[in-house]
Amino acid sequence: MLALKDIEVRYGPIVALRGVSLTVSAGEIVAVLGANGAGKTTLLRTISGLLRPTQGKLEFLGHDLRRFSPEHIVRLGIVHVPEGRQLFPDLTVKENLWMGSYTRRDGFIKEDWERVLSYFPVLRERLSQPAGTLSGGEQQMLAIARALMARPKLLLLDEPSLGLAPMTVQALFRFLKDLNSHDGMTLLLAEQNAHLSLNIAHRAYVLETGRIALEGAAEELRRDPKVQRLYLGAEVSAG
Amino acid sequence: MIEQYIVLGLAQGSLYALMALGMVLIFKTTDVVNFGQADMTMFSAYVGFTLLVGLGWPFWAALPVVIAFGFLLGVAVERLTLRPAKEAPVVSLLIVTLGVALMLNAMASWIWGFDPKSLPYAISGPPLVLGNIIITRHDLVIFVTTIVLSLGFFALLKFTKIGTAMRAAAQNKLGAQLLGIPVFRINMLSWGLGVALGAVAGVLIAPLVFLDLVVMIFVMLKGFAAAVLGGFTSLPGAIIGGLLVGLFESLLIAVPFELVNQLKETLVFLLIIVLLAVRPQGLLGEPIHRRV
Ligand SMILES: Nc1ncnc2c1ncn2[C@@H]1O[C@H](COP(=O)(O)OP(=O)(O)OP(=O)(O)O)[C@@H](O)[C@H]1O
Ligand SMILES: [Mg+2]
Repeated sequence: MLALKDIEVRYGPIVALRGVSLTVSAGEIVAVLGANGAGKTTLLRTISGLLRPTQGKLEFLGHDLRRFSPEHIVRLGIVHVPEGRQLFPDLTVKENLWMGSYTRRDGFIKEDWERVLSYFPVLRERLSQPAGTLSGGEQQMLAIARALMARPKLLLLDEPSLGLAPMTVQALFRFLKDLNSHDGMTLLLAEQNAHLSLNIAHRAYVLETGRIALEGAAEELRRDPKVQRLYLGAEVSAG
Repeated sequence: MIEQYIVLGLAQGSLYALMALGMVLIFKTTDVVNFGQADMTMFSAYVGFTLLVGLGWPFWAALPVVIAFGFLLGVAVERLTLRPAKEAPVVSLLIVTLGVALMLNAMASWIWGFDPKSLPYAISGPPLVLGNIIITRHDLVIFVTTIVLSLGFFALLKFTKIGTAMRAAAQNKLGAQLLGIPVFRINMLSWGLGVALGAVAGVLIAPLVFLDLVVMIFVMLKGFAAAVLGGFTSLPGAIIGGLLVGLFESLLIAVPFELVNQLKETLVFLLIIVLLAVRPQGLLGEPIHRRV
């Protein structure tokens, strides 16, 4: 579905990604793991068209994504839930969700609306409340719900666990797992929380300073001594 | 007697309110204060002059054309001068709007010359008398236009998809872009609507003054003051601010001291400075938090 080949992305003279190749197939959950500054956000921003690669190929369902604007990429079916959620704080929950379906003209908006609210009943109680007044966990739900209103084929999630309580994070990851197994949603998940990500993902990539250091099936990576030491072990001792 | 000054003040204030509404709309969606608003308004008013006086059109036919002209002017300014400079810091964009202003001013002097022009009232005929208040038909047009446009704007922003997207893009550009909201087109629309509001104020105010190359600067400054008074990010604030500035100015004329009458412009701004010292966020504004 999505294929990146030898992607290089720069911020001026700084090379943030080099030689990154990655694929996502329909129906998969793919995790991208990495420490602060590894390049996860850069990678997702490149896929959604906010950044332009200086080298490499970027294809989604047969389209060359390098030619499209971020707005157009949404219409192709890639929706990005960005770092920090980027909600519209003074708009109500309802208006935020409505903006999620901005690009759509099809007849299934109402149906999706009911479905999305059935995933997050707490949002239904808060429909007329400004998004800025929601708790952190509710805001993350709204960010995901809003993205789902765009009816994505591929959902990009940038550190959805950031700033949430451990319980909320667990519930969120369970939800993402269900979204994938029940609705067949394809997910590309950028996370520092390697432990939980490897639990729900089928495959994963490990980014280190802009390069892919490791890749493979999630179970394999979970058993990999280097991953255990650097990403899983570190978390246990830090937590 | 005082009622008469209130009516006059509200009529003047309505025009400042339209001016302020246009500037706030542009600022809210694009972060740019349009320092060219005066000259864009002036130029649109001259277009109105050509239609009304030069070609002898009736007001009801000229107004939509002036609105369309203002809209296209705003769209062109965004598309041709601001978007190419989109990576530049906001200060540079302010200077770009000043540059556009100078250009329009030069063009207006070239097309229409330096002699002040007088524009006809929107509707002529005897004024309406309500008790001891006299309302001219032109003032009535001003009131109706302001009310219709303000309500139209709120309905647009509150209930339509594009209007909600305008508010969304004003609050979070990145968030809007990632949902497929065409942020550039929204900026263009805001510029079009903002300048069109100024154009309406321009053709309505021109019959009350003599139209020349600089008169709109004073209108813009009061519109700006009104916007600041209202908080600069609040659309209802812009309207209330406009009405208050108009009222205050008119009541100063009513004061039976020659000196006060002559200093009214200064006093209007003085009042605003004092108000802002007491309430820095304006009447309806929120404390400004810079986006990153
Ligand atoms: N706008 C920018 N200009 C210059 N350098 C940048 C910019 N954004 C990111 N970088 C650099 O690119 C590298 C990758 O950053 P990126 O934000 O993609 O990392 P990340 O993996 O998402 O980190 P985090 O977990 O902290 O979110 C970092 O070295 C960062 O300093
Ligand atoms: Mg990041």
